[in-house]
Amino acid sequence: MDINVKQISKNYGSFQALKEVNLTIPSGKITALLGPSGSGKTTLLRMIAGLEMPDSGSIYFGDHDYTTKTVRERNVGFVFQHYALFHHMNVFENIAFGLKVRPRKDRPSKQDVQRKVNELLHLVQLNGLDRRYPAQLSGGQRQRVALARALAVEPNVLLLDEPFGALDAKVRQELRRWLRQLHEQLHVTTVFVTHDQEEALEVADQVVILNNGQIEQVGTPDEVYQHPKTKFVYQFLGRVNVFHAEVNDGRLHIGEALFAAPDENIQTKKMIGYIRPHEVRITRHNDNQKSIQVKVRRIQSYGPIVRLELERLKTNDLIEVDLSVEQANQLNVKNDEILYADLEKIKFFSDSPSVE
Amino acid sequence: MAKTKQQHRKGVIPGWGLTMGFTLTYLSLIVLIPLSVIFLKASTLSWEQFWQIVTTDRVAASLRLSFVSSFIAAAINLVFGLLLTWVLVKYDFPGKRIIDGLIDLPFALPTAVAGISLTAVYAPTGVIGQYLDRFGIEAVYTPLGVVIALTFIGLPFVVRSIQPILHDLDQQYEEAAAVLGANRWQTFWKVILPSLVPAMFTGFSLAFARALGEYGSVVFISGNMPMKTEIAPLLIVTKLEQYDYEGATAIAAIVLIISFFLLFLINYLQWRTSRKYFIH
Repeated sequence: MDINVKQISKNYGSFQALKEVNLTIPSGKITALLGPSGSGKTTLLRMIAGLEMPDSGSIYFGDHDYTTKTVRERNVGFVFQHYALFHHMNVFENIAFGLKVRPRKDRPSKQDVQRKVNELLHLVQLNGLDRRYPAQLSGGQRQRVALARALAVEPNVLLLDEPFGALDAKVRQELRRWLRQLHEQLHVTTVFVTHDQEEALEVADQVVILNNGQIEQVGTPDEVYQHPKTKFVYQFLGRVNVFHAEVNDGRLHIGEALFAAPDENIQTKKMIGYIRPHEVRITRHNDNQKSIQVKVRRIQSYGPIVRLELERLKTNDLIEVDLSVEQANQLNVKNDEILYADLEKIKFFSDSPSVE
Repeated sequence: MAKTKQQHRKGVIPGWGLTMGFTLTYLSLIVLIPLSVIFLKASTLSWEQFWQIVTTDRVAASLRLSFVSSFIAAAINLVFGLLLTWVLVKYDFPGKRIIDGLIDLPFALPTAVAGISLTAVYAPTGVIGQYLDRFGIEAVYTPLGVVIALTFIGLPFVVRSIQPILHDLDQQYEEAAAVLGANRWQTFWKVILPSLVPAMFTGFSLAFARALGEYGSVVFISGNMPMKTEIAPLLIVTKLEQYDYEGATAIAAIVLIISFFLLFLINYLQWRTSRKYFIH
């Protein structure tokens, strides 16, 4: 079931958590709501669940207006950041909770509950742990119990609030992959909130980047990473080198390097350019007009990549460049060597603080 | 593999010996020695004498009254104390701080003052007593009066035990229950209440223990009729006034033994309910 969010706004006192947000969450896909803290991502998730009510705007589940429906009526699965497992119930009782609180006429029989819970335990790979209490489980296991509990009610949509936030790095990795696999089996429409760009790009089919209560960009992980629409998206999705360019004769100047202006009738005097560390090409000779002279300050090896810390001659600004080990060996870079950094793949944005 | 001698593990914070020594000394001076004197004094009696004293009709009646009315009062406090705590924690309203302060009044008020006020209020001519009188209910000079006085003094124990737990109970449990389709009643009954059970046990046992030892507020409202409204602590005082020290300590000892046994039972139940989901 796809979900349509239309013109949603929400204020907490004078703080605007969401400003006229429009969003379509496609059916059967995983959508990530990505943004820094205070960007409104959790508020949006809670609003879809019905745990918060919008000040204005509407929410549609399929063709039905769900804006005024209560949380109980929406039939969503929600996994809380700290799981909110019921401590006094064992794993079985936690998972069965959603089935057992149904009105008597809709309540499945004891055998059906037992069967359903066993299915879910199998699905989340916790067979045999049904008599354990949450306090006796590891973080990753609790997470999976929370997921099974949310899935037990066969929800219209599965909502996860920072699902991997409270786990350590290794368990996170495993659970990410596992969540992806689980989704391939179930195809339930899923929305999760995260502040970790890597997580969003790895797990989601659609990434929604939020900042200051507004959506900056929506797209596939590839689209948002390769073609960021705004400065914020560029900076938020990974490391970036920033350059200030001056506009002259319809061309952009970064020191001695020259670039075509993105727009012929450019009005501003200055623009700002972004380039990712792996997009910079390192050469020994200035073979195009798009390179600047740099001096090597530091060479660091991080597994498969070699990171160069370069100092731009004249301005002394630092630039980071990532090379593959092969590239680095081929170039045979030495400390304090003078090289050329080719910025051909740089992307320019207007230098105003407001979003384009 | 050679077995190394297990060393006494030293904690990070020093001074274990000193603090533990002080704690034991202090506990002995304030609690253990005075209590043991009761048993020493009682032990001057032979078993037959002791048994004879505590099984006389008057003593047995007073013990029954004390324990039953303390239990009823603690149970009443448990129900209404929970309700009161709920209102104080979950809602905001004008005068909340004042009501919160009022809860402690039974702690602070001299019990004799409380007893006299309660007697005046619940007497057939009193503010509340006149309405009870219409239904033929007598509060003053009956076991009901004893229960009323014990309820009054026990209330703060229940409220103050549950309050911090309910306050810290994260909103997300209620939200989780609601998302899963539970209505308010199911959320309260299946999710919130079980989390409060250990605190409710604590509040109940404190209120019960306090009620057992209460004297001042009860003696005015009960009328102290032997066999009917005479509580065990009053009987002890009566015996003391008659210079019957052995009799007094015998009753004291039996009260102590029974209450120790009951409190142990309550603590055991509390431990059983909480151990499974509070292991960390």
